[in-house]
Amino acid sequence: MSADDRDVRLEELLRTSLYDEAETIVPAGDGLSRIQGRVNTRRARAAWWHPVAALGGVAVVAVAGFGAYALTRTPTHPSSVNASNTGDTPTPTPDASVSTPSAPVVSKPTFPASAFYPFTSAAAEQQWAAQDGPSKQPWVGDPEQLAKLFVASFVQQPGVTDVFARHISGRTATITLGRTLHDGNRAVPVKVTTVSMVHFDKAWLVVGASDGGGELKLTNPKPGQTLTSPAVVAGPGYGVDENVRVDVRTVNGIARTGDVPTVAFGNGVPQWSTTVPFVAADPRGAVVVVELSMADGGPGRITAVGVNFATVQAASYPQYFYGVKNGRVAKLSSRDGAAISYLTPAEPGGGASDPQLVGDKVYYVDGAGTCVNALRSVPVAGGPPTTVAQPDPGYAIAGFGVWARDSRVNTFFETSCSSAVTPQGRLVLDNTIDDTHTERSYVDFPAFPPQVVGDPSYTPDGQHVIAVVRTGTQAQVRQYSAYQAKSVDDATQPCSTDPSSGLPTAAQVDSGGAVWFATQTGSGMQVMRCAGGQTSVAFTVAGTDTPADVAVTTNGQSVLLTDTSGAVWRWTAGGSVVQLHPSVPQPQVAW
Amino acid sequence: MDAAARDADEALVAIYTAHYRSLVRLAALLLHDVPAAEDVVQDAFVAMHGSWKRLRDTDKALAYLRQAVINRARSRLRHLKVVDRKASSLLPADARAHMPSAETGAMAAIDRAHVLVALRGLPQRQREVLVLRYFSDLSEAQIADAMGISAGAVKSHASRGMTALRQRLEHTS
Repeated sequence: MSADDRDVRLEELLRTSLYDEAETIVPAGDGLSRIQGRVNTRRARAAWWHPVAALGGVAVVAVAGFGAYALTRTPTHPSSVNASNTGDTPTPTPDASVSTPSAPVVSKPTFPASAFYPFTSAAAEQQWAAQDGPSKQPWVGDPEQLAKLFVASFVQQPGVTDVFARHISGRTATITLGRTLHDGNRAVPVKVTTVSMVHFDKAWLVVGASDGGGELKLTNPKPGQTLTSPAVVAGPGYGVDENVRVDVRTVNGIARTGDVPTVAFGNGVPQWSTTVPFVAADPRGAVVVVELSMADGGPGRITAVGVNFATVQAASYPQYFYGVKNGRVAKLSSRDGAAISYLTPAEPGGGASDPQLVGDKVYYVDGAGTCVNALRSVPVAGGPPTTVAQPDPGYAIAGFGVWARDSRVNTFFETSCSSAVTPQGRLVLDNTIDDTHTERSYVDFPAFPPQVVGDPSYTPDGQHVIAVVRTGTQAQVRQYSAYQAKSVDDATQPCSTDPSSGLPTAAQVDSGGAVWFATQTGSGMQVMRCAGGQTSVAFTVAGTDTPADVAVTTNGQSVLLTDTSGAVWRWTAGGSVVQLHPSVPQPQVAW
Repeated sequence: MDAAARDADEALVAIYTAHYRSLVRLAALLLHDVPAAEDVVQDAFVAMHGSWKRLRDTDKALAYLRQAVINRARSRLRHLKVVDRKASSLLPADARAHMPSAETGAMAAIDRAHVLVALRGLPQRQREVLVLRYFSDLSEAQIADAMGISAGAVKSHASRGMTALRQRLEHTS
């Protein structure tokens, strides 16, 4: 083992030791109140001090100031009083902001079990109240305003603003809201929803909303029910040709992970139902169902049921990923990007690039930056590298994919080393028949653009290859038949994408057949998941960076995203996006 | 309450929410005493609140807090004399018996607790640099700012610290 390897291992060991130790350190939950208590004490002391000082009575100030200090000073932790202060520290007296055992016990009201907007816990409401919320956000204390805001921002139906009925009695309130429906030449006022609220402390809280007409009801979930993904949402049928859109939302936004399900029913169908996959970071939220009016397509009925979400554990991610350091394939920590060890030796003639983990081997392009490169593999457990495939003479491998079930089947996009050569690029389907015989078929790319960008990737059945094809200012995720495609346009587009969702730059297929691809939008990078013709956003990284690579685990639960500058982000289903900090840029990664 | 005071109160809550836990952990890694670490961090927050008119920026406030935590942790160590000097000498005998040689490359198998003990035995500045580098993930410039030393001194402390750490672990193998 080299000194360099030992350094890397010691750094990783130190890092993991510190992190593990830190994980065991859990501060007491009263830190903020202790700090605020001390701040308030200082503030009170200052407020007291200034008027007295203005009197000019220096001696009075000196004595009285000490007295005030003695009365108000907050004791620090008894085990850790700063020794330098002990000489001038008066006898500690209880902080006025901290309750004492002799204080009268006031029973706190229980937070309503099905309340979900605008607060989901008593602590959140109390924090709002403590931070001058009632004067800053007075609508929280006004049920009519709260109902309107709920429908506009939570349900996202801002056109439902007309108040049809208003009942407020002490601790409960219902506000019926509607809108004007334009049907031909008629303008018809229609009730859309009745928002139910309860009063808690200084705020009104939404606990649900029902269809003002009593038709759109839910039999599942029940109010306050704890949901796990996917949520099963069902209700009794009614009407003739009805359409409802079903969503799972929280105060922080949409928890649903796929496209919004639209359910059609009516004509005597007794029951409708659908499932909604979701990932909720909040403990509470609501299932929201909106019926769209046949007359104008606007909201006709709105029902919302407050629910709890089962504690979601973020999916675990692999412990390591693979990248390149010093021209060598390297194993890196998935937690922070720190290098762990090298898999390949230092070799002359251009280093390694574009590592990809397939089974128990890491495949990579050897001879990066040269025109004599090759596709090679090295066992994860260590061992000598093996040459897997070589480009055709005069070409170099720019990107590749290996079929997970049979590593003898691979594909690569090769580009000509001379601009005078035609075709400029070729998508090569390379099947190793035996030790001496390979069978290749080609999809020619006569001149760039169009060209393949990033790595092609096999579908799980090995029958198709997914590739991002750049066509000038546009790019598409295309699917080529691994055995029949002969030309650039002899492909399908498996993922429906909205042009506004950005320019695809890299793609990979997981073992379930879902295509994950990264796009560059005007405001950031998005990783999209496409399965069964449906495309949805998995996560977003804000900024102006250009995605370089996307690596998804076989189970589709974790993704690494890189940009062209070599920055790396890790995402796990149910978790958040975390930027890693490898010591050198990692534009191409694998796990 | 005036607008500036309200601004300071809001900043306090926001910065507390985002950074309190990690700062307590940083302080605890330096002090090896969680209650003392909480006191140190709370002191730093109170001081930051008092200086908010001058800071008025979350990034500056965080840098201020780090600096305050490190200074107060040093001060606490001096006054309470909680530095475990014994830790700087030898690891427990039973630990040594089970530790594989670093030379064999089996570093990962070494009990992480031993790394922490070895770290604790390093000179204070070296320990601070290593904790800020490998726990707080700060750059050399940020460490220099937090510790009030030059970037060159950070490099020097880091290099010497890693060498000393390796030697301590190897000597116990």
